[in-house]
Amino acid sequence: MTARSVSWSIGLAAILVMAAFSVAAEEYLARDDFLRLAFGDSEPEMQTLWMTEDTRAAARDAVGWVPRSLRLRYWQAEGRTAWILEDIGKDKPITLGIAISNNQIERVDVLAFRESRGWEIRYPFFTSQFSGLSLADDGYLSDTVDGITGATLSVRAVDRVARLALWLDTRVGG
Amino acid sequence: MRRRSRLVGVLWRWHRRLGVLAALFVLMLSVTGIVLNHSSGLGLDRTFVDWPWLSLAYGDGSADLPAYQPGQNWVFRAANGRVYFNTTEVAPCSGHLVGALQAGELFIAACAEELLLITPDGELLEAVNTSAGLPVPVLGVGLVEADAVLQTSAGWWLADLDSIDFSEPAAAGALIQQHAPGVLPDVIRDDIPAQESWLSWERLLLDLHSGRVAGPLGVLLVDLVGVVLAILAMSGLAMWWLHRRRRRPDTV
Repeated sequence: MTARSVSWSIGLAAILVMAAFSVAAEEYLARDDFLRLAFGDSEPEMQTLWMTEDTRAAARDAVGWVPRSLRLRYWQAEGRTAWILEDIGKDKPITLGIAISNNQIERVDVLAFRESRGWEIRYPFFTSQFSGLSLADDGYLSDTVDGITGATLSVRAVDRVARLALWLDTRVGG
Repeated sequence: MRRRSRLVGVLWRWHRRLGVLAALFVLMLSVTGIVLNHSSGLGLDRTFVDWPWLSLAYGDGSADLPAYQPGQNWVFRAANGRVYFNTTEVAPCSGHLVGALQAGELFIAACAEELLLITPDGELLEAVNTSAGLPVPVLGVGLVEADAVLQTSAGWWLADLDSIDFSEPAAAGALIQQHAPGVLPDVIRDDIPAQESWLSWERLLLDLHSGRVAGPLGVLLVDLVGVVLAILAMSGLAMWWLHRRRRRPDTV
């Protein structure tokens, strides 16, 4: 085997390995890593919010959407809450982590994305737009968020989840 | 001068070979790309492929998919990726259904990458996936007395479904009860929405464009085509530059 064919083989193998990793990557952030970003090293205990009939109806009235799950998990400490929620963009669930303090979003992170399109929502240029937003009286966010072409449904999903998280924060007295 | 001509000859030969090799893929990528850009306007996300052989190639052997019968209820994951509790659609579930059971009043549908906790009414109590610390792939689910346990490649783990914790291994030598997969009764299958309407034209085009229609190897093939196209661009530019230099009279 000549040196040239060896270098070609190495180059091809590197491309294949990179491609394999890019195909497998859909989990962007683990739960513990998100909580560390939200609370630092002092991670509070996980708490449960039951989405009773009344709560679901109130959420639907307030923000126009409720998740399927009857049981939601959240973390709360020193006036800050963090939520891990899921919504379907087009076909598959997107897992989002949202931290809220003083009725305002502190951070939005995409923990897992399973759709075939719209993964651009995970980048800070998009998620950072939510920082500082609160829930307006009409159930929408206090300011507009720029969308991403080709990711409209994913953007809408993040918007819905952000509004619900803000409403849930007031519900648990965050 | 002769060296440059030889280089142009080699470049031209490989440029031609790679061009022929890539031509079909370029056509396919161009057509699917243009159509995908207008998929919503053309309604391709709302129209479905009605080719049974293609659905089969996608793994839609709905009739062969395993179903589990914890208690008097059936748990089934349809080819569209959604789990049904009897005839009630519960939620999408990542990965193939590897088991189901009843733990107390709760039903658990275990997919390879997600657990669905289901109420006796068929409502989704909670979906637990890797974001919540679920070890994957899940290979099976069972009961040790009244406690749910999960099987992964590392062994069996106690599933604490209140605190969502899977870190404690099941006791060695414990008797684990599992449900064997069965065949969904026709009376339930007939009440589940038709399975042929899940493969949209948009999804088929997306999978053709990305190569996913042929699985992971198809994705790698499309990656390789991308590399070939980059080489074609570079060799084309190099030939143009060398040709331009040859035509220009040498000036000192």
